[in-house]
Amino acid sequence: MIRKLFAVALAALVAAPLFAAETTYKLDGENTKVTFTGTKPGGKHDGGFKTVTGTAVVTDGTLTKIEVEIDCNSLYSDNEKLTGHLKNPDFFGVKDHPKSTFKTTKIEKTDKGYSVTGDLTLLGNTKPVTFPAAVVEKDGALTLTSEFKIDRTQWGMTYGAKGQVDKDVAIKVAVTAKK
Amino acid sequence: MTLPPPKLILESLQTDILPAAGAGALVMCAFLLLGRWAGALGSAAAVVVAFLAANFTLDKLDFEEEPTWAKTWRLVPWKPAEEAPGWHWLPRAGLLLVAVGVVSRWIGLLAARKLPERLWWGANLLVWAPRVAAVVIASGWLSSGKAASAPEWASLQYQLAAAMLAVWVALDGVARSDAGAEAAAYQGAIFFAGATLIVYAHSKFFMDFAVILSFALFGIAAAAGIGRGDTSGAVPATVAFLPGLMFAIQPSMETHKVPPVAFWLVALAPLMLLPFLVPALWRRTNDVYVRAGRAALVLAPLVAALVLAAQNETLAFE
Repeated sequence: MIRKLFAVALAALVAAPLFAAETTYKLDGENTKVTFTGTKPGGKHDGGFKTVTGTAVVTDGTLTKIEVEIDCNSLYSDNEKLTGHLKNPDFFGVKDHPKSTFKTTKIEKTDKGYSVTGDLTLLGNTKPVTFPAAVVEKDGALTLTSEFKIDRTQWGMTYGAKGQVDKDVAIKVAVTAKK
Repeated sequence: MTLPPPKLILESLQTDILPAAGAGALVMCAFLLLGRWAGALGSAAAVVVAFLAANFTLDKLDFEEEPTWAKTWRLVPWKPAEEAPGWHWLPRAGLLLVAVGVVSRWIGLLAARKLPERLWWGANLLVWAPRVAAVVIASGWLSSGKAASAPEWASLQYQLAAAMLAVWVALDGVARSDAGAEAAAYQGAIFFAGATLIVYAHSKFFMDFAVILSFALFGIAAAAGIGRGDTSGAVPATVAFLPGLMFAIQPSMETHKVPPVAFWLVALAPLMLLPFLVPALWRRTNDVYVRAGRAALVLAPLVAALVLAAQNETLAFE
């Protein structure tokens, strides 16, 4: 009897992941907004990326994976000339580095939501980043919002880093994806 | 016309101008103390040290970890990464051409001493054959990378190689004459015009490269002017960086309205010195009219290039 119970428990344990509710949300430029604000002494500029693709996976109501690819050539800003400058090797070098990617390596639940850690590849350099995120999955829709800062010089974006343009760039991510 | 903000000028002064001009002048002076004969080798060493000084930084070193030489570059890595854009190869291309320039000249001098006068063409062949080979290799490096592999850049390597050879021939003769300081100053002026053109094309980053070369050569010119030195050793750096900055960076650049002819005018400005290699003018190198004519001819395409850029683009310093 004990053997039978043990076998059933073991089978249930092995099979459990098969029955876990895993939902994959497709991310694109319509449902995923990646924007940034760069600051300099006495001013700031806003911008973002129009073309974003990727997936977010939620398992049993818990965010478990995010993979995003950004088309850097879709970069825009609040100033046409600045957009050209940002696309040049001074900043993003989009002709040499057309794609930027983010892949999660660890996602943890916290008191206020999630702590998301992953590898961000920019200018061909991959560095880990960790940021807080508020995630809600309800009625077949996923919403994710996050605001954080990165030190752009970590990825080799060193233009004006001696005080002309601030090193830290504020990033905002807003996802509203449906199944 | 918008002038650069004072902060940008001060930053350039601190990071590009002073290290390049200072190192260039100091190294050239040190060699000229040995005698005028050391000018060629001194100018070669001076331009290399000037670029090293301006591209060197301690900002990236994390002293909690073991400091490495690889973390000390400011604008461009010392060693190009795999699939790096062509402009990452600029320092290596410059170094290759400077080394080949110096060695090939020594070989040529030795051959000319040993060979009878009717076979001096053989000495010239020994000078220029390795230089042509080095140009072919360097132009291949400068036209590599993802952006340059697009079909519209298929002829980039040929453009680069042709411009590099033409610039080398034009500058080498004048730099070896008594007008060595003048030749270095022309190259400094050409790079400065190139730097302005690159700003019109919206890249302060590539402008820094041109400013470094410009002031390295002005520093060498100042030292050579005092010591009446030969500056031909620095010419190969111009051969690599001038066409490199005018053409090899274009695949990496976002579209701009500066006409391509403006970049050609700056890249080929040294060719205006070719008429002065004619023996009748060569013998009158120090004649005041010849010098004035030389300066006017070199400056003319630079002015034309900047007028074209100003007519088609605006300077914006964000």
